[in-house]
Amino acid sequence: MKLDLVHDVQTAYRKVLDCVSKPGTINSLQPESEKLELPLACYKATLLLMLMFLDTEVSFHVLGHHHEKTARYISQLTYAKVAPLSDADFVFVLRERNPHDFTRAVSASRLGDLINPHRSATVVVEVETITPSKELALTGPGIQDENHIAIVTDTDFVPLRADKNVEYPLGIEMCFIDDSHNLLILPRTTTITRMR
Amino acid sequence: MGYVAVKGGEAAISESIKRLRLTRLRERQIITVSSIKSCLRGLVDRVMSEASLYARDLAALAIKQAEGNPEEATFLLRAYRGTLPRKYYSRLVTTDDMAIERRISATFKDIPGGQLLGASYDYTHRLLDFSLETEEISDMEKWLEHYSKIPPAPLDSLPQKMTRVADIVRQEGLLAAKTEDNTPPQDVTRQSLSFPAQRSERLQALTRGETGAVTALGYAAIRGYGLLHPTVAELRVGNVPITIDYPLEETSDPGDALYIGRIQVTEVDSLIPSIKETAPGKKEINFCIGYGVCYGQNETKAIAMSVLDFCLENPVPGSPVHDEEFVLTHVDPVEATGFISHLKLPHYVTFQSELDSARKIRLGGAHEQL
Amino acid sequence: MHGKFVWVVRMSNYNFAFFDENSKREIRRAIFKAVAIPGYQVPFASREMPIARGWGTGGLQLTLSLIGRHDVIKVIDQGSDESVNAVNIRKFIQQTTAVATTHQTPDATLVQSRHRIPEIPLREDQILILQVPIPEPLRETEQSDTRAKRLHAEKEYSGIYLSLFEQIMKHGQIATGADHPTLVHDRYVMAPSPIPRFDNHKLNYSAALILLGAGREKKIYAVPPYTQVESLAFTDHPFAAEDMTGKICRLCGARGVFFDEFIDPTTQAPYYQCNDTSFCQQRMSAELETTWGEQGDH
Repeated sequence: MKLDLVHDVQTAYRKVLDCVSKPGTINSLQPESEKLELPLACYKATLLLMLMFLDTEVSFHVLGHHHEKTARYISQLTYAKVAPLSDADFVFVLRERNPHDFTRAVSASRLGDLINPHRSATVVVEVETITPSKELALTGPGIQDENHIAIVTDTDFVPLRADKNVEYPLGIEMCFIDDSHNLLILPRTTTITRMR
Repeated sequence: MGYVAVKGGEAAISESIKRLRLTRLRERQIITVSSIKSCLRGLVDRVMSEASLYARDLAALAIKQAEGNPEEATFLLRAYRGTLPRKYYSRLVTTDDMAIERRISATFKDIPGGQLLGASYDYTHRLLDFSLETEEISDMEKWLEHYSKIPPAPLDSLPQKMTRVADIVRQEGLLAAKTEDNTPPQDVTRQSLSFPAQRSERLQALTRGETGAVTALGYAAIRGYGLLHPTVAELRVGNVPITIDYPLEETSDPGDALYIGRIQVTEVDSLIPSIKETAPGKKEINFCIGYGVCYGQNETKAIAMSVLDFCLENPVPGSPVHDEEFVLTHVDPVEATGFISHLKLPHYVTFQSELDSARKIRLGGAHEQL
Repeated sequence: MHGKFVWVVRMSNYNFAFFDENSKREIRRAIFKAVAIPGYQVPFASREMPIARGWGTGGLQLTLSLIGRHDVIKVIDQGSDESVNAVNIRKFIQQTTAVATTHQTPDATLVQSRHRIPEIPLREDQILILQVPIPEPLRETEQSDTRAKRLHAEKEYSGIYLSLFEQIMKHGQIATGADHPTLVHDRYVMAPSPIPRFDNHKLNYSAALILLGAGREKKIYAVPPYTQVESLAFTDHPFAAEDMTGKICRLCGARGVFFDEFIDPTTQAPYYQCNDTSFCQQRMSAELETTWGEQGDH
């Protein structure tokens, strides 16, 4: 692996932080993720997020066609434990998946409670493309007026997410990665409206 | 004038550090790390316990650097501990395997295995020994020579087995019923203490606690602020072996375990009577155990810890020593000394703010009088 | 002299930025959730550091988990880059990262501060890290953290409003000094750290991300950019910052910024200097071509 586990993960994390603090921001993880050369059925940028966030202290769950093999590999690589979907700290939804995998990831992932709202899952979803087109309007903390994005994927996640996050401060965070290493993050505080 | 003061910080710090070094060296004496390790056992044990790092050489080094200041030495060692990679958790340590150096009980006059006094200040008279002022190497060698000539006790006179006193009471059925709890312990250095705390977290916080703080709160507990009358069932000091599971395989077979060394610990079982109502109108006394354990020979702290363990297992509203948030938050040496000493940092902005408030109120009050 | 970059050889027996990657990872996870729940205190393990608790270890852990080779760090305490605490922390960061440092706010990518927010407004590409002694705004009315967490969960803040009301009854006005509590994104009451009330408005709709770290209390919290932050007050007793009217800096002539007060030894009269020392120095070297320093609406 040519990835520098100290410096490349640090620069990638700053982009992640930028995305979650200013939702609608699209950052490219390519300079870091393209250094990864691992035989996994997921995007390189997804693997980068796994290396960034997973270790012995957290659990994860993988959904998708190659979920078992991927999960085992990730466990060995990061020492993170696999957990059931309802318990996992991090959920990864792979590009090659069953039609309901994305839906399940949103509806069944851990929500935390009012005493510890931070203990909800972070769901990472692989999608086709992420662009700044005017399909979805985003408002909320981190957004000056309104940001516009378009996500091409198999599921209309907007109403699912709205349902899941209906009782702020409870909610999940969603990270989207497309096939060109682009990253977009929607924290629970972001409100989405369809523009067309 | 203002401009120079604004720029002087770095130079001032550099000079202060030089001055500190001068203070340590100006009497023209050096103390070696090995001297500290051999001759200041009490301080080394205390610092290891508060730092929760069993390393006599490192503790001695920290004590040398800190000029014997236990607050500073613990801080140095804790900070160093934070940088060490943590590769393994040991297998369960049981003091049944202890090579006992000292073992006493207050609950019974005589106990199976006997009362073994060992090395302790308890039986000395606290009279300053002025002969130590002129102690020489030759005196040391003469005494050690003399001691080596004393014939050792015959093997068959040594106690065969030291049954745990708590087990004796347990066999009689007098210990309070307790369901076995094998929840894996939570490591408080990896996940911050949260309340309500698990017993494993409480015990860790207490064993790492500042010696004076734990002692003071234990003292308050037995003096009346706590609702308990404890007796020390057993105090043991000795070495226990540490083993880890063979790292390259998924095995927990004790036969495959690796021995990595031994550590000296002080362990205390205290018994506290508590009255339970077994049937309407029928009361029974049984005993609960309060547990204390520390690195090194830290007897007062281990006893106080056992007292506080019981107090925190049995919360009593209104009593500060039964309040786990109060006790556990305030015994940490690094946090307590850090926050107290932070009062030395400049606070002139916050003070300016308060001054502004006070002045406005005074003005407001003046208007009211008009 | 301005914007000088000092190259320092990094201490070699420690990882870049002192912590091992596992420690950084845990802090990064906590920051992520903190940003997602503005004003809510996320617990974290808070490793022990070679700098004492109470002296900025929370802020330092945040900085060291974020910092990279190309960052430029500014550290201030009580508004000054040269305060002993700021110098100590900056030295530690330099020794463990060899990263460039600066006194000039506009040149920094990361600003770590104790008890002040700089006078020059921060930009979207900058991150402000505040050192926090007591992260719990309800601590005075509720000593138990467990009970305080419950109050936050239920948005039960009548206790703190009551204590402000009592101040009005007693003194005729709200009598908080620094660290005046705020309501973030209309949900969590947050302790902004002991910044003067004068700085509270800078949290509201800030262009920069603001992170707050309490090392000893083991909490991280955040205010994302463009987030509503209101200082607690009543409609008939609106929030009032410290009064800087009529004050002017003896060194650079600035007005409408936060001042340190001094007593002139000869006249016994008070005089003022900018508390933000790098701001003052920049004005004095006439680098700032703005009308910043005029008192205006904030």
